[in-house]
Amino acid sequence: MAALLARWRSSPWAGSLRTAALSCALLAILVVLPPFLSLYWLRLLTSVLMLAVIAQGMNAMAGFVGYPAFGNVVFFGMGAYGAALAMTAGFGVAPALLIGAVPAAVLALAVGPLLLRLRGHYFAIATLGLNEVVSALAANLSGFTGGAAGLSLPLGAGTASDAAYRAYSGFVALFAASLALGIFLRDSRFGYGCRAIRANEEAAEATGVATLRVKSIAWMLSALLTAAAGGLYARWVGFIEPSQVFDMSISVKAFVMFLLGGAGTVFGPLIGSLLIESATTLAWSHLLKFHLLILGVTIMLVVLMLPDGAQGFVARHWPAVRAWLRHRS
Amino acid sequence: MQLVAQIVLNGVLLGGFYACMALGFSIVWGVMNVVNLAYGSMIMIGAYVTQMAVLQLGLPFAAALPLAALATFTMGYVLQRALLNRLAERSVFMTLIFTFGLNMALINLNLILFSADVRSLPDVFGRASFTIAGLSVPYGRATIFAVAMAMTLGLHALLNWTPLGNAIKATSFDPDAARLSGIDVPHVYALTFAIGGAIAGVTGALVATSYSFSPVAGESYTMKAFVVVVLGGLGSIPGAIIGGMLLGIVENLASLFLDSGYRDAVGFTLLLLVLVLRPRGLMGRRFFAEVKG
Amino acid sequence: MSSSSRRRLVAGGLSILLALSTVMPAAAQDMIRFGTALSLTGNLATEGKLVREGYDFFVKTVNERGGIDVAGKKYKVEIVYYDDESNVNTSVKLYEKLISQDKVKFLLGPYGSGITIAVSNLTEQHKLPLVIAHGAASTIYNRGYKYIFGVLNSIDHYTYNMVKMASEQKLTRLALLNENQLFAQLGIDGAARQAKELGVEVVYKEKYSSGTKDLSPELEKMKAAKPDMIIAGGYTNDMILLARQISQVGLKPKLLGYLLGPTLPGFVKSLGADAELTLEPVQWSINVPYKDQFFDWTARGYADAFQKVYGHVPDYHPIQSTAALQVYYNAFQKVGGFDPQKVRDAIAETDIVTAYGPIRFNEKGQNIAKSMSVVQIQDGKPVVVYPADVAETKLKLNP
Repeated sequence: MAALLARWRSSPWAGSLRTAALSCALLAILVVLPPFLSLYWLRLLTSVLMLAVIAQGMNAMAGFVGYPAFGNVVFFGMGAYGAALAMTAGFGVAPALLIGAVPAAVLALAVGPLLLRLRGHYFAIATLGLNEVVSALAANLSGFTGGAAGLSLPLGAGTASDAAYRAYSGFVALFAASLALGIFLRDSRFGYGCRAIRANEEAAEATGVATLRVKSIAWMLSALLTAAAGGLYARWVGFIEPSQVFDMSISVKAFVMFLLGGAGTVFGPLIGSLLIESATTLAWSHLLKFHLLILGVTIMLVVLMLPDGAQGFVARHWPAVRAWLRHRS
Repeated sequence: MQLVAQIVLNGVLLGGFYACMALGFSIVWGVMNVVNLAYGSMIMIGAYVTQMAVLQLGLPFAAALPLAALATFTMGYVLQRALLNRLAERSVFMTLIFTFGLNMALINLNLILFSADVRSLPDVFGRASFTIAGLSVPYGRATIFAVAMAMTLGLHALLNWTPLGNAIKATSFDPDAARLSGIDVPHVYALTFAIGGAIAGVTGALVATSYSFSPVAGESYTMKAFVVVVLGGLGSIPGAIIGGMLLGIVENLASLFLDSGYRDAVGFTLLLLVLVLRPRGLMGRRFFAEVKG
Repeated sequence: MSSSSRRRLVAGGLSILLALSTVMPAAAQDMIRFGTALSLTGNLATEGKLVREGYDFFVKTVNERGGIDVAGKKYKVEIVYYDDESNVNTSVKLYEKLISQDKVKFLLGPYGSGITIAVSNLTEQHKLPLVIAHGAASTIYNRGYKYIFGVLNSIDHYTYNMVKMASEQKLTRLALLNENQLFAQLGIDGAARQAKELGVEVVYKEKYSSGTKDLSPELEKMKAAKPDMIIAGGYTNDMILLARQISQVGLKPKLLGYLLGPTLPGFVKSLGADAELTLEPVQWSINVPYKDQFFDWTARGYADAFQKVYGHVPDYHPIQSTAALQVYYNAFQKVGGFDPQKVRDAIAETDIVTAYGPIRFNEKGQNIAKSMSVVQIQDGKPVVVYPADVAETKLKLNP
């Protein structure tokens, strides 16, 4: 029995199942939480989940494959516009999300083979350029997108709390998908391919990983997730304009978040977005004039002191903490 | 035709400014692989120092400009020495995020110190223009172009004909070998960042007279620097000039022939093309950039 | 740990959560609270500061007089502020905080049109009134919302007077240029429509991307079209660049108007001669002939009192904020209480005269009683030149 257990523990499936169980517990908490929250806390939590999803999209490329898709916000914007246009044309939320997400995924697959030959900063800048080009199209094709005047969606039926719960449940579902993507990228065969690319692309290629295909597919998955988040955002806020949904600071924030939480981990993005959002929220309510300063200094301190993210920090110090706890009891 | 020639000339003048601005960004990135997202904020600080020197100390602009350069030089040295050097061994993304945080902090500090008002120095170079071959050249833009070119040549001389320049290049090529041959690497890094800072300061002084500035206005300069550096090639001085001019001319022609709303999009399309066709930039040299990926 | 103590712990945890979620600052009985999120650190922080001063000035004035008199009882006034960093998502979040956390029932709009549209989606769902002091886009008001009211003239009025001036001055060739951004785009599109109505020919119309570093291609093209009047719209940064380059390329229009800019701090100081004789439509000026029905202010009286407190002459932003609060002030007294629904109905029936101007709303929530005037920078100072009944001095054309 013990031997069996040991074998089970060392099998690759055990890790996945453990993470899946943890994810389910987390999702269960998210599902039962709303009645205890005021609409403000619910909105904050929705916002945390949205950022966690975007950060997971970033993590999928930058954390797991090692390609910093800095301009990933382009998919957020495309998703937002696609879904908003579909909803104005009378589609329901779910089909509209799909209509928003598919072009984003297609774009990732189309330009992936070109841009994914670039590495490091160069890839980052190429994605940034992609975002600028698409956002300029959204801002200038005013007959189609409304241009700079933006797109306004009709209010959904029901009260403010109905709308809040709808948005929340949408993002919880998307968050679940983002965790599934994380587990997939960490534990699947495909994920091994990703990590091999991150570690050493030439070696991966030599050992038979179809690197360009793996990278392109990973980017497409990242695009799908990010675009779906954009679509839900459009529904949630009810008004989008190019400068808002193609805003590079969304990408930068997502980048900070997944790094802070732990790159290439399943829960890193969530931890990062929780940390950053709580920091900004606390700063907002009390230090009106200084909150950017505080946030900026916090980020600098985190980089200096927690080089491998919050999860890495905990992992590094966990044995010591456990020993200390054991010693106490 | 006259119109096209005039627009191209304006593009060249603008490109000179872009080139000068991008140099500071380029050298820091090329030598230390640090993408300094706070670069635009350093330009803003240069602009504020210039404005204070002119309006409060009553200095002429020609004296305010070196003062701005000195301020951002010092700032750059201290930043690299005290903070960024600690991140030298870390992944490039960590420094990226660090400078992102630094940028936020600087924007907030500038807001507290100077308020969000949009400022500009009135009429340092006058409003007149002179004419060459039927094309008009405003004195203001011409002066900026001249300063930019002088800076570029100065930096070229510094890197190629001085011991410090050799030390910087050697460190950029291989920090470990440089260390072994007795170069004080942290000091060289700090000086490099300081030189980048000084260029930001000069750019800031130029921005103060011919554009306008406010705490949040720095980001558009960082973006432009990004594009110029990638177009021209990382760490390459001729590259910065060619990248800057190319961007200036292409942007202006886009404004002339297409809807002006597409101006930035055309610049970025060019960037994508260069990246796909010639990833190291038009003039990029291997040793500055690609070794570090 | 026994199961009962564990249960206590869980219950305790839950009650803390509950407490957290319903926590609410102990509001004094005789206090009315308003709430707003403004741009205090974003790229619109300059405007945000002016907006806030106008709100604070009302609070100070009312509280010095003992508060608002509602149904025979005096209520002090307080405003809860947050900083939206000029970011839509943040702004909506903060309004949700004002509503469900701080329990503020009476909301004041944010600064900027896009943000106002997003925020009004939230307030409309909460069925709480939103009195907008600084959102001019017509698209805010044409969605059939019942709880939004704007004290200011919407964007169409900004350009109307200027186009009319062109036609009255027999200037027939109009050039239009705007930043590709919500407010400026709507404004300049409006100007093009109005030019058609008033028989002024639009000889050039284009938009440029935000934050551009060279407008000379646009201006050279514009020059080739030989306009005798230019109307431009965009953020201050770009407008300063535009003003410089207009003289650099040698464009000499008879009139040059901006949607926003000349009256903002820094514009005249930065540009000197290039700011001279530029026009800006303003929501209000010191010369408007209105006497406030609540306070003993004329427009000039307001300006004087304001200057004593803040040390500078107010442009139209502060008094516009003050007017938004006066709309509430009037509604509270009409209702004799603070029920948001009744207050909303009373606001819809508003018919008042303030130092800012008369306020009466149409069914869309737009103030239809007030008009705008146009100022011109003359000798470095903004003076009202249009319309004739409020003009301080005559319009000057560039030679």
